[in-house]
Amino acid sequence: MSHEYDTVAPPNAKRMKTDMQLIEKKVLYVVLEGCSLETAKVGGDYVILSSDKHANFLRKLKKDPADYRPDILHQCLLNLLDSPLNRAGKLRVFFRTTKNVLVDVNPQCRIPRTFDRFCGLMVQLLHKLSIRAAETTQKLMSVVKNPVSNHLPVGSRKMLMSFNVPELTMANKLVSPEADEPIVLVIGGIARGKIVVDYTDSETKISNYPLSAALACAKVTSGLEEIWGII
Amino acid sequence: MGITKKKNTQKQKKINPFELKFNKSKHDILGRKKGAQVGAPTASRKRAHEQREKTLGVEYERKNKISKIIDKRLGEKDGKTEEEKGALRFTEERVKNYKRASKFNLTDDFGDIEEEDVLTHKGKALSDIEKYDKSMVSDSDDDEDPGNLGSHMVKVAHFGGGEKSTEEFVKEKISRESMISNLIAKTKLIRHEKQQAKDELELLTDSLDAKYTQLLGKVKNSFRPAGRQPLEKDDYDKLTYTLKVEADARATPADRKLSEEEMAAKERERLETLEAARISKSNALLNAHMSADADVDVDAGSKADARKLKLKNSRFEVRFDDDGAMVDEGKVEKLSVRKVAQDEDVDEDDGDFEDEDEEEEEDLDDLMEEENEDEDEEEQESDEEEEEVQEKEKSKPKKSLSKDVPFVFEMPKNYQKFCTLLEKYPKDMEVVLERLVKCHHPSLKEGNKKRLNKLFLMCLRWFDDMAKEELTEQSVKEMDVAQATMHVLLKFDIQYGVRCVRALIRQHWKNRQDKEKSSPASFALISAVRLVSGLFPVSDNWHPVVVPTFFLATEVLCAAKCPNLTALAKQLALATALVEYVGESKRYVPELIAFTRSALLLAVSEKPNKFLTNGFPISKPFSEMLCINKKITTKLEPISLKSIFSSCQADDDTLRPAVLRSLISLVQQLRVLYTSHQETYNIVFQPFLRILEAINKEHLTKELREEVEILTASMKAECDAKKRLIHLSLVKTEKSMLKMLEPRFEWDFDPERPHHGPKDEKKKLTKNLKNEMRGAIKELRKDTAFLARKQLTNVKVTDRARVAATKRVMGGLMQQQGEWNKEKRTNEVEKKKAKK
Repeated sequence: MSHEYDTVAPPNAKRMKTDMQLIEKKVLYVVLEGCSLETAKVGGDYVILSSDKHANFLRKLKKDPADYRPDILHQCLLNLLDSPLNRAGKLRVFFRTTKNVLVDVNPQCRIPRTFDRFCGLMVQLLHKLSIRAAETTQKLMSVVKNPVSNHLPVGSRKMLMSFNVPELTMANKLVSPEADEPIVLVIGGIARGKIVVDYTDSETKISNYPLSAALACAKVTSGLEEIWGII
Repeated sequence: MGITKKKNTQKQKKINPFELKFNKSKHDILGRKKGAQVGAPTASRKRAHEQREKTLGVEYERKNKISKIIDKRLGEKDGKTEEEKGALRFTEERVKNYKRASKFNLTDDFGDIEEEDVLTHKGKALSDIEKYDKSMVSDSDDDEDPGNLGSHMVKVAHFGGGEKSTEEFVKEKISRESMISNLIAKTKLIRHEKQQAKDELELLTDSLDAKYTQLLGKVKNSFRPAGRQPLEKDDYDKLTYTLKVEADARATPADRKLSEEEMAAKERERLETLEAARISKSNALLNAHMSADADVDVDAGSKADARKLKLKNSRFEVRFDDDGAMVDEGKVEKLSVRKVAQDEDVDEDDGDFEDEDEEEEEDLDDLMEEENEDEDEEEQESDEEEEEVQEKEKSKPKKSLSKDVPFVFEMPKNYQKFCTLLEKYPKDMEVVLERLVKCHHPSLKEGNKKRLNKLFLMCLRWFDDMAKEELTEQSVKEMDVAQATMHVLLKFDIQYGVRCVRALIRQHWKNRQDKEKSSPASFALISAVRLVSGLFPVSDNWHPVVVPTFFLATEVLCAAKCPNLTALAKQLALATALVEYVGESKRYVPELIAFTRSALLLAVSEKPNKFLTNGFPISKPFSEMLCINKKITTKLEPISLKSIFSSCQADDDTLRPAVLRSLISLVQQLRVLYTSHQETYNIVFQPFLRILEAINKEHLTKELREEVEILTASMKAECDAKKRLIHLSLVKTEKSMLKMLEPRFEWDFDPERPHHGPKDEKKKLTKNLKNEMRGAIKELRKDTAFLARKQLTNVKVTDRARVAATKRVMGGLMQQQGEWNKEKRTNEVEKKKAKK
């Protein structure tokens, strides 16, 4: 398998058992919780519900349009997958929607730059349960089985990013540079509120100001790049 | 009515909620219509049972029942009266008869009776065709037809029983054979008569025709002939005709006068073809077939040379030794000389003084001797004539520019005479020689060609002698003249010229081999090398003169030693001459490069390592022969030949910068020459560059220093530009990173049918099949269950009936038994009573 990755192998690449010692241990796992990604049939078309486009439709169904913010997820994914950390093969991303759909994002996935295309792709994902690469059959996104803790490394430090906690950790101090271990960060892909998950062991914040999800992702990745020396 | 119906349906719809089954939806998608979420399994099961009862149940009941009587009599089942039955049957019968017997029976009695079917053939009724049957037979007259018998005859023969009446038959009985023969004879007679009549008619017609033509011949002249008659043409007519027809045609000039541009174009075309020929010849190595030609056929080569010389005549400048003065070769003007030449119709010599097959291993001296022998013989013969000529010469009026030079010369008989002739006119040697050549133009007289050959040889010798003598300006000038003359003469007999020059070269070669093996080049040698380059095309890949000369020069260049500055200067002159040889072909001459490099090394005091000095001194005072350590104030002048080749040695200090300068210019020439050598340029010139950079420029004059600097800079630039050698190294990859993959985006994605496409179609079908199969199996199971149930009920019914029957029987029996027992008991009581 390794020949496919002439440069850097993604952290989820299959390897021979003999390569075990070569597996990268310094990996950041990001779980985006509570993302609003919901398909609906609006006027004969299947779309991802978003607050500004389908406000009337949502009101008709007695839903709060403010809850439907797929653009947050889009921004987060763009920030995460375009980061040097990801290009160096030290990032894995999962996201979970409000409908409890857990999606594993392949580090090699190039997220569509425009929001409309992203929505189209997400519709495809939610109906077909996987997205493949254009030229190859490699899966770039796939719906996986809950709970997410099954997909996270055993014994890793799992932290929830929250504003309402006293503990402050700088993004570039999240892990010690010597420690050869993965770290899991849970970031809420929400516009407001707090997320509650059961698999984290600590809560922390990286700024004394409330951060948007995309900004949190950017800070975290840049901080870890600093720690792990990815320039 | 409507309301009641609605009520009914409502009643029907109301099902016990405990009998309903609810479906839980897994993925709720807003806006999508939900399918049936509630089902009534009991109701549907009941419906299915009823359906089976109607179909499978019926079949089951009919099982094993073979025949069945079906009464099809009309009105029998309904229990109608006799009268009604009768009426019914009658109508049925009528209807049956009314119907057609067959669908395809077209002619029915009921339809249109008038229409009649007619058989046709090709659209015509057959009856019509039969009417004209006879017309098919030939319609020619019966009687005239030779094949048929006459109708009368036939009639009589077939039907009438012969010609004769029955009475006659009776009278005289004729046998059948005679009758037939009679018949045939008669027929023949008739035919003959007919033929005769016909012939007569023909004869008559012919005679009439003949008479008519006769008559016509007599009358003919008085008639005007019909149609257009061709007129006979006389000369006048023809002339007018041609004038009329060919009025537009113009006489085509034999050789049109060309306009200036056309002339130029023509000339250019000619030159281009010649140039192409030259290039192909000089690149002979590249195109193999050409080279093969050139190698094998020396004659062809020399012919090509002749062609080339012709080309040169049109634009050739003869270059001379040192000063670079050029003598333009004027066109030969014969008009002024011709008359004189005609008068001068002297000696017809048949002397064969040049044999083609003669062996070429001869020196110039041998050739000269050979000539002299011939001349001696000739001399006696032509003495008288010579005198005559001289008288004539004297009587000629002299109007030329150089007044004392006569226009006509006799060809000198031998070299001494030639020398004396030239010495007579020391200022006008050129004119003398030119006139000599013109007077003996081969077209003027037979034998002139040989004389000119002789003249060539003498010129060559003169040239050589001059070169060997002490160098003076006069001698150099004379050599120029000799070369110009030789160049002109070479036109007339190139083969002889080649032979002579080869002999000269051979002589030089022998000289070098024997005596002066390591001495520097003599002036004679250098001038010979120059001469060859002036006379012959040096760019040819192979040339009978140029190549040996080239080898001679390179040999001298390598073999000679340079112990002092004058020797070096001599060698330098030779090297400069040699550059001319490769000027066009750009051939790499290793000897030349090695010589130049070693010579340049003399100008450097601190020698770089690993440098070879072939033939150059390595010991200290001499190895720095060209190093200029003192400031020179005198003006720099080019080296004069005299200073090198004359016996009185010039001062070293004055000669040094001059030699260095000429050396630098030689290097510059080489640099320019080998610019086209892309691959080897750097290898050849890098050492030069190093040496040039090491030259001490402190004491050089301004001019010289500038020259050196320019050369160094230009060579450096050239070397940098041609630096093509790149060492192999590992390719540095860009920053290693994860390869991003574009997700597959389906533009026509339909979430309701997420799987579609040619592959998915098959998948769908297989899935359908599987579902259907499953359904069918389920149905079959249900059928069997139904049947089993049915069977069971049947069995139960029969069982029940049997049990009931048994019960009944048993009851009866028990009653019987009871009655019997009762009777028995009563009997016993009676018996007892009776006993009592």
